[in-house]
Amino acid sequence: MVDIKRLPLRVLKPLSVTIRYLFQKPFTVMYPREKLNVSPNYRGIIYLDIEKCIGCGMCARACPNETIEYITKEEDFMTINLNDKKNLKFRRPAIDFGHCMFCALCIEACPTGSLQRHMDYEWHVKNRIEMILLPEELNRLKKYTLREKVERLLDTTLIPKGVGDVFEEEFMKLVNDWRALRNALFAGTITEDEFMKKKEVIIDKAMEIISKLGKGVVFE
Amino acid sequence: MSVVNDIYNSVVSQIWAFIIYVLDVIFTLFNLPSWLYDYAIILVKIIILFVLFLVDLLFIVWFERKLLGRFHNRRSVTETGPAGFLQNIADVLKLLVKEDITPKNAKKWIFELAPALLMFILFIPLAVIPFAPGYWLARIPTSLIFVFAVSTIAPSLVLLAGWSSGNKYSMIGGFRAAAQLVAYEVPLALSVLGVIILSGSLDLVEIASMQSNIWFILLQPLGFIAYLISTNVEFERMPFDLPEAESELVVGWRTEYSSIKFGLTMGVEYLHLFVGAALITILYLGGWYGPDFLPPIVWFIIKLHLVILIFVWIRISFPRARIDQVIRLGWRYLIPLSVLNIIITILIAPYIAPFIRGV
Repeated sequence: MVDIKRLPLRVLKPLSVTIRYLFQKPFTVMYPREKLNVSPNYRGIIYLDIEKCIGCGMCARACPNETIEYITKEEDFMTINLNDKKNLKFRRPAIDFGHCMFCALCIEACPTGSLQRHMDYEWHVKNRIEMILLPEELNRLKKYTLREKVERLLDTTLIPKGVGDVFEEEFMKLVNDWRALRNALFAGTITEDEFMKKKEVIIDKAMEIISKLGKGVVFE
Repeated sequence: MSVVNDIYNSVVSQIWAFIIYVLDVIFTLFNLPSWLYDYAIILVKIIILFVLFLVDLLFIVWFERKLLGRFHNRRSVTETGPAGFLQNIADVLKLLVKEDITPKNAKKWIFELAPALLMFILFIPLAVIPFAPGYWLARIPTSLIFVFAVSTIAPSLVLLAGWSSGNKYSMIGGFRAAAQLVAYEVPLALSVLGVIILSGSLDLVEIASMQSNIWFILLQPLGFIAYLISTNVEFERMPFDLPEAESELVVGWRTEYSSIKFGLTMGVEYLHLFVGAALITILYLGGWYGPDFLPPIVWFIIKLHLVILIFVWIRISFPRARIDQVIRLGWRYLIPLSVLNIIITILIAPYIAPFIRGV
């Protein structure tokens, strides 16, 4: 039932509110041209100071989304076997930002302050593998090609888990092949030349799967 | 007479003389019969009105979007063209290239015809709306009744469109359009009765020219309020847009329409807006009368767009009413209000008659 006494107020009040807005300056921030200042405790993109990192493994344990896995540095690639308990201090984090929720728990867990919080929030990539960053790339100074990246990331399960799509099983088989190859290399059962040849084959297969990613699959 | 007025008059008479000259040349060249001449002139007038109306429609759509934004304290369209003016053209192009879908359950013929017919019906009132002295396509002695009669057909076409879509939401939207029409046809006519009593005519030209001295909004405030609300309901404007009610019925009667047919249904909305604003300008805001320094047509256009601003203001300020509230508002409050307005008008008419002067 309409309350007649209050009707003029109920009609005039919304009208007065909207007409006042008409003469105010709009609140819109014209984004690419204008930017808001983010708060000082904003949790943006994560950086890594690779020199400070001691390979303690706390960040991967802290990560609720399991986006962090460990690989070696580029110069240790052929020599360091991470499966060996003695070599744990050589591991460095690779982070899949496609699954990261920027909770910054890894930064809290880091004992040396090598993982750092930055206030950037702008980042664009062309495919989901580019969102997985190698430890050298984590300070945004170096950039690897897709093939180099895949070569390093085959030590981890980040690609099949993060961007595997319907090819996850196929890719996991490749990762297992790769592990066997690496173990053979470190055990000394194959030479470095043989390793290089077999490596190329596996990476070619991996690139073939990656080229199919995101294209969609026709199920018969 | 001012400078602007003189320039306007000379330019318009030059253009009109040129058009007449071209017509004469065509008629002498092809040896056309002389009885065709009147029809040719009417056709030229129709084309001019149509083109100018389409240009204004582009402006109105942009104007409404921009105003909606500013009433919300945001910026609305900004990127396409200067101040986002070309956004409407982009939207129409997008609608044109979209897939045209007819649902399986639809009654095909009616479904396809309804939006076009709706558009056609709503163009008819433009024929009798006077924009300035001499600026009309047709002058008939009962043009007000004619406009009401024609715009009454629209909701029944909405009902047809909703029914033929074969969708429950469309159908409910159509029913609501019919219910609103039945409830609000009465207050609409009754509230306009005051104006008819004061001006003593059903001719829109006559009604507008009676307001050279004083606008009817000052003599008919109650009638104006009743008429404004009734127009909003009749033309399905926002607080009373129950036939489309996004929060309840998807988009109501236009749910199943896609591609340019949806574009036509949106065009219907802006046609409603234009016709409703033009009628309010003529009936209550003194038509083309204003200070002398601008030509009458310019005053009419300025007033029309101010009325559109008021429509948008009402649209943005109120939440959508429930269907029973809308119907109750019509029967219980607006009809008594407009009857009261008629009684008051009849009582005071002899005393205010000296102020009302025709030209």
